[in-house]
Amino acid sequence: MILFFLFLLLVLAGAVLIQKRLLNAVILLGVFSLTSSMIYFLVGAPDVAVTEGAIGVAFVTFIYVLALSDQGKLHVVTEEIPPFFYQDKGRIQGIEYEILQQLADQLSLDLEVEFVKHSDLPSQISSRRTEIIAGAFYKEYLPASGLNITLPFHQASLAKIVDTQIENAPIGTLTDLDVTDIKEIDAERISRFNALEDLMSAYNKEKISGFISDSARMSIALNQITTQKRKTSEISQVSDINYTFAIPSSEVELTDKLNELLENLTKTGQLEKILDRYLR
Amino acid sequence: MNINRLSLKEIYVLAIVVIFLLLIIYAIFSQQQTGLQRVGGLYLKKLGANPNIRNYVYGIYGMYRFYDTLFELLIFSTAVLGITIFSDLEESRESSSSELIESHVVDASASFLYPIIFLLGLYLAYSAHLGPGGGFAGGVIAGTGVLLLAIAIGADRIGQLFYEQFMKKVEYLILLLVLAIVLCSAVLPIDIYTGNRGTAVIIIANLSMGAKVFIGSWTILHFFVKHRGEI
Amino acid sequence: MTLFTSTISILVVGLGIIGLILKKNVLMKLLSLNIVNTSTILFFVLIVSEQGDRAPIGSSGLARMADPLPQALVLTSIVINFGVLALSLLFTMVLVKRYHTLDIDKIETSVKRDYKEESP
Repeated sequence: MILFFLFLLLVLAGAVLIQKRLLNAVILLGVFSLTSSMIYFLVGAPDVAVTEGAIGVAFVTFIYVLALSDQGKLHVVTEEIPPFFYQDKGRIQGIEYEILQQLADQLSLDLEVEFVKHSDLPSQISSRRTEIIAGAFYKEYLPASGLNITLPFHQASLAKIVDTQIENAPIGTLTDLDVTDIKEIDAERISRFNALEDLMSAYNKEKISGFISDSARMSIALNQITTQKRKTSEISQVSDINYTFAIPSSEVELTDKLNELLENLTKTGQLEKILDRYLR
Repeated sequence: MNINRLSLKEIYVLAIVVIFLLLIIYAIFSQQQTGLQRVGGLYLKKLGANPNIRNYVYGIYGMYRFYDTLFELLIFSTAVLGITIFSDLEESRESSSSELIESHVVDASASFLYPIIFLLGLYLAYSAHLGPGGGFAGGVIAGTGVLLLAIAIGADRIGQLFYEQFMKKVEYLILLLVLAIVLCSAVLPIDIYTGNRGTAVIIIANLSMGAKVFIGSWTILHFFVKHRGEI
Repeated sequence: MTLFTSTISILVVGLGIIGLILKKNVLMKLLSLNIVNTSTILFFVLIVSEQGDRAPIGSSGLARMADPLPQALVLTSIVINFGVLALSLLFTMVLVKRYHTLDIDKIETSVKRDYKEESP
């Protein structure tokens, strides 16, 4: 009887050393302590068995699990933008979700997604928990924030929509958008808005004569323009942008791994297939 | 550490550990030839004369070798002291909520189960001289029971229910009480552990050890609950 | 029988020591330290006992009684191990807050760099 438990001890000790995920190793350590407590009981040491069971199994496992509850997760902060990253009846779907899910499987982590609004993004960048920023992100969206930009996974364009019948009103954009390179806009006549909905309502109420945004957000916005506005609006392309991911600059390893994964996906053609499924 | 590609340093370490193990195993086997002694025979004889104490293990660590237990309490207090000092210096996480798990099933069952666990800890603590258990196991089990209550009602409200501020001040008085008992048994010419007075002294010593470990273990758990996930 | 059981517990100690030295993650080192501690105290209890010993509680019967002295010594050790573990987790939290990594090589290089900057 004792021999069985002793060999189980050897197997469990070996299993703890091979694990990649820390939570698995902690639970196996709890089972190790429990087997040890069982051996103490069989040998005639009930005092030691109770103490080892109370301290080694319950207390140590509690403390480890409380301290490590954040460990095996990959934190992603994103806006909700179909078809890149959105929620459909409680399930998360999207192009970027599939790419990030593959990355999480490769690193044996769990994916944890947090949906935020555009105005909350700068504060989330400085929080220590954020590891990847997604949601139709491009380099000009939040410039100079201490972020590493990964390789692009899709090319798109920055578009401008103008109502030809309104004059002498400023052009609107979202806050932090870098418009210094765009020649067709007068830099002093820009008004900034915090969210896409504010931009849309200002356009509908004719407070601005047009706005500039990337093509994904533009297609969401187009659904909310009133039909009479749609007749007088004109859409034109301003410049080319690339959709990428963004990672805080302290996480160099994560940036390398994500770049590697994106290169791999482009080479094997899987990226094309994912884009086909969602965009066509 | 891959099995197929072991670097030179890993082979070196493995070799040293294997030699160390072989030395110890040889020591065990050679000892057997001269006969492994049962070392506790003296204590069994001495404790046979005292009918108050039925658990011989308690007789050893509670009476004849009380210095071990005393310094073990001191080491435990040092660990708790370190955590207390650190938790005063740190602020908790910005987004930590006071509820551990939000679920009605857990709430209802935890409120029902925690008195049973607490009672078990109390029983194990004071009946250390009659059966297995002891102050340390009892105190830790009671602390775990309070953690279960914290899951149900939130860790911050435990402080009001259990008079936490009062107990933190009283914690070191308990240590003084235990020291006083040891001093009495060492200095006074009579044996304080025999007779009816003996049982009372034993129970006071057990309960004070259990209370000290309970306060310390709840302090540690409370700190780790407040700062959970910070690694 | 006693020899065989104590030998196996010594082997588990060896496994724990190997894990303690060769693992790169700070928390895996702590877990290996836990394994070393648990199996060392198992060795101390196993070396004087055999399967089927009765518990050392009075009026326990005529069969062979277990030896109470190693058990009393080992009880102290369990609590001390737990105290050391709680404080080590605390220090790991401080380290991770400062250096943002759990890899022991990176922490060493960062500490050496901080040292060089402070004392030229």
